[in-house]
Amino acid sequence: MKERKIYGQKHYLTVLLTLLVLTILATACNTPTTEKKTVEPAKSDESTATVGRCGDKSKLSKTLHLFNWADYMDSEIITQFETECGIKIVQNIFSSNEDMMAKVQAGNSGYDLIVPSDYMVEIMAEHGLLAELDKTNLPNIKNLNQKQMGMYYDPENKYSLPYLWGVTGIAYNVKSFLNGTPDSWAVLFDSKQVCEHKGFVLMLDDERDAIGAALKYLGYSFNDTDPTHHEKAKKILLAQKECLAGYNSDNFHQALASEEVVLAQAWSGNTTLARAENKNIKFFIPKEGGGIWQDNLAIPVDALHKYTAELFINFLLEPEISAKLSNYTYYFTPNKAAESLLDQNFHDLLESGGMIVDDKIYSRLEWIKRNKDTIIFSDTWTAVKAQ
Amino acid sequence: MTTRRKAYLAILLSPGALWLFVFFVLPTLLILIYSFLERRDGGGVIWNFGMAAYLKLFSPTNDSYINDFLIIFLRSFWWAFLTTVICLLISYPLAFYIARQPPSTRSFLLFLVMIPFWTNFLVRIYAWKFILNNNGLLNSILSAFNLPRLALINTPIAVLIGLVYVSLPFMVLPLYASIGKLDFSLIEAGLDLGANYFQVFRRIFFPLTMPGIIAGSVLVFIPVAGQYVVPTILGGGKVAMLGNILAQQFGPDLNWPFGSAISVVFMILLMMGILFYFRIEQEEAI
Repeated sequence: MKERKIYGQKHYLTVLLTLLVLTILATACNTPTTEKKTVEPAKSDESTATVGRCGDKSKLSKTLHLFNWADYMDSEIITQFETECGIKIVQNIFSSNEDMMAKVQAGNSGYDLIVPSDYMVEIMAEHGLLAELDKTNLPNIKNLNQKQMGMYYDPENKYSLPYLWGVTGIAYNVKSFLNGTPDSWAVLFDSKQVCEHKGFVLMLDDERDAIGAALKYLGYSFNDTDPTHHEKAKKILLAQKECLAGYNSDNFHQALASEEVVLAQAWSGNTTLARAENKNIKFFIPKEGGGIWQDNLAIPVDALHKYTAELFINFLLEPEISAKLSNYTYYFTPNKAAESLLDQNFHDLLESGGMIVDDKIYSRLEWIKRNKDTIIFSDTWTAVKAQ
Repeated sequence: MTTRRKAYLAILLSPGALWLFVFFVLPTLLILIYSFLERRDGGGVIWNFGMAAYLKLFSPTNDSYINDFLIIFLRSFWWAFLTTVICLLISYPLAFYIARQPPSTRSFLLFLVMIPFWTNFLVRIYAWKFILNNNGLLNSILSAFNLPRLALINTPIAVLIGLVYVSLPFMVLPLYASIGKLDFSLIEAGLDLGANYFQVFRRIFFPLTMPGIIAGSVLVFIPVAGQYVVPTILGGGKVAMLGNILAQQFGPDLNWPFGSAISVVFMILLMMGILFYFRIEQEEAI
């Protein structure tokens, strides 16, 4: 899910941390009772039908360390797993794939389960940082949508299973587009069109997304590395910058919802978030094509509690749990069996907001891939930001 | 010095020296070495020595000798300079005023200067965003008085406001310290001996508070030149400072050698600047 939430979430993080400290203080005062509370349900569950969900108890660890994006897990899911199986889940937050990889690469990170995006799975697998998944512990794989499996970054899903996915397109405020609905990247890159909304337009602050979109507008691929094409894209981006409010990958949905901006390159999930607050916000995948990405569950090669991590992955792949996660985060679930369990409200938001990805739209989506030539995006981006 | 005293001194100094070695010398050396290595795709380095990173940093673009990196370097230093000067202009009278108050008021005022440190840096910058926004606090107040709105957010002016805001305490405190130490009878003596206010300031006050000015300027200039958050949040990420391209190299680009090379050049330039600055100060003191 890229770096979209770095600063926006830090607020929440600070608030969360304060709350955490307060809860710790509060629980410290009556430790014995709380201890009992967490232990008891776990024991009673042993006798009930949920034994299967908690696997072989003798192989389970007491804690599981999850390394995840901010605001990317419903705490109810964690509580449910903790009470059912008696395992404490410790969640830590990262704000970019690269940060996460650096921590795992350093070794002894202590994390049992991580959530890398598509391209990062490929890089980490290449560097030997991911453990092979033991499929016998993961019977719920059957629930997953084949469409989201076997992607280029892990063709046999040896190291990773999909967690959530989303698309990159354009979000806009219908009040500012009364004369017709936009359907092309031209609304962002044709300088005449974009400057009609001068100062009220945002682009994603990400070299691959922003330059990629300009390349797409020019009729090339998101992953094009031809210097002459990049030169053209740079010119377009520099002209566009004159009319931008700025580049923002962190909280553009808030700016959209508060009508501080009326047009933005956007991820589907954040746009749904904006639409939940402001019904004038809509989304579309441009006719030239849009982006697709997927975050995945994977286990670091040096994880201490691999079995427990696999058990938790399997738990997350339960249809009702996957549905809960999708309802909470507003991103798409790769779980076929969960689709019918999604909230009606969430579905309505997607449908009325233009976020539904049907087969026709799906065929227009392209993955952002990395290889040694894509370093050219860095130079183009520096050139755009230098002026 | 006897050998025994030497040994004694060595024992006393070793914790500090070890600390400096492990947390300063080693990382700096690592950066220096990395800057001469080759980029490994997907993070890390390949142990082939070469100058590729420096060549990239200094190679001219096809249309001018001033390449994009140089523009960003110059911008960072220019903004850091502006911030330092503005901070100095605001802080000097402020520090003077605080230093002249009775002790109880003085500590209260100093306390007010330090209060912002209690809040998270990011939260404070976000607060500025809400103040400067198009529909923000400032513009609401302006329009309530029928005054024209100011389009400040996402402009270099907003960045500068943010930079001055975060740096101000770092300038006020050292200035206060050196003004507080000043013997004010010297000023009276100067006035008695026929100097006018300007002469007193230039010949007595200014040279005697120079250590505070130097300390404050260094404390402001260096962090500002490497700023990363303020241009992203208040400037809308439209123009980069050094911190932003550094973050780009170690973040999405995973280009450690190039990022290291930028850091090395940055460090050398800063070091030269500071040595030059101290040199001037010493000459003035003589």
